Amino acid sequence: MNRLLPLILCTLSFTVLSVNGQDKYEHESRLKIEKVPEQATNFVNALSLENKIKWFREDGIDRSTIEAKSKFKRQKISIEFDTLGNVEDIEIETAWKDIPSPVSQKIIEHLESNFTKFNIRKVQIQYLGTSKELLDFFQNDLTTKDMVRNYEIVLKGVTKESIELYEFLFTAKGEFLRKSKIIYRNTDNLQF
Amino acid sequence: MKYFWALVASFCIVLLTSAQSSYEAGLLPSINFNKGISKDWSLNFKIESRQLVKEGFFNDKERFDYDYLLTDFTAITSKKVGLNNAISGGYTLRVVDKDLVHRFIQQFTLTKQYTSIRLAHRFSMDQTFVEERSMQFRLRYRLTTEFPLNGQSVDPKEFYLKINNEYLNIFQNKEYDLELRLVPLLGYNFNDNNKLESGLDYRLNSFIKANSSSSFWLSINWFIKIE
Repeated sequence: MNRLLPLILCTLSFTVLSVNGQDKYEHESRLKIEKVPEQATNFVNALSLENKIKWFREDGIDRSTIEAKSKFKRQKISIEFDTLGNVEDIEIETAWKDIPSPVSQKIIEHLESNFTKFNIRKVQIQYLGTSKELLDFFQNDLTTKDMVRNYEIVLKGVTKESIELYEFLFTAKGEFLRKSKIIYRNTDNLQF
Repeated sequence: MKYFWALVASFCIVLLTSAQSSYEAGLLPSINFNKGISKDWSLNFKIESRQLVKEGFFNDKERFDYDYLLTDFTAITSKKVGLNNAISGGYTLRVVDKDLVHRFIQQFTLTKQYTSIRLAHRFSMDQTFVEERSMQFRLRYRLTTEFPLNGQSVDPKEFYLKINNEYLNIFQNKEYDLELRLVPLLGYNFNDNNKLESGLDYRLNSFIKANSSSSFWLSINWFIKIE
């Protein structure tokens, strides 16, 4: 057995590695500031964020994005750009209690119709707009009709069949836009 | 990481204060297969071999004597009981030369995902039966922390750091012993279903009543999930 095990390990490693060479994957990695498009760094600098800014690159199956993460007024903020440095959206973490009551009530009604029980884990406000609109809002608190504001909510949802983690997107008025299930990474190497 | 270094310091203190500490060192390769059998149920099969390369006392001459020690064959079935929790039960057959050891395992695991780390708490107990010896009962707690070495999550084709810290309460013949384990591992994620980890598996026991005994194993773990 002591001589067999290394042989089994070697044989299997070649088998599994050769299969994985054709796999598609998504990849997120830290990005040095020198590699961030100037347009993106200029935009982030204009926001005068309090904390250190961490840059990430996310390579998906179809496209890649660049993301800056930091804090704004003590709340976590993430700013997403395309690879040319054009801003796509800004997400800022907020508390559930800060959502206006008629809106949160409408969201709850929708969630109650989906789940027997749910537990809200994270709430973010998503801002969509042009670079100028977003800067006007974050620098001077000026809003325009065209700037879109949504609520992104991560929650644990319980149904008769399962318990899963979901990400929901609602409009500023609490209307449902999108729902997606968050797939957990494999935990076998933590469990055994 | 402060927690990790504090643990290393405490292990060193225990080791240095033991007068006649013995040690053994060797290899501990394992291969771990997982297969989902339904939405909430899964099956785990693990083969682990232990090979001794060196043993002796810390203040004595080294002894090199390669010796194959044992092989464990473990089968565990798990049921998901919550978003990140699982209860499991299984059996290990340990082959030591021509002797057989039987071990029954029960465990509960709770996994937490934070922004950039994953934590797992494992509470387990096992009962070991060897012919002509009384049953050994162990109560165990293990904390596992996983850190990505690039970005905020462990993506395919990325390295990660995993640290296991385990405390084993051992009861046998109305006697008690405590074993501490510290296992820092460097892992590589080929993809979510295929991970390879290697590092030092350090075990310290017998330090409550007798002179301490340390084991240093080069751990090589391979996790494969079969879809």
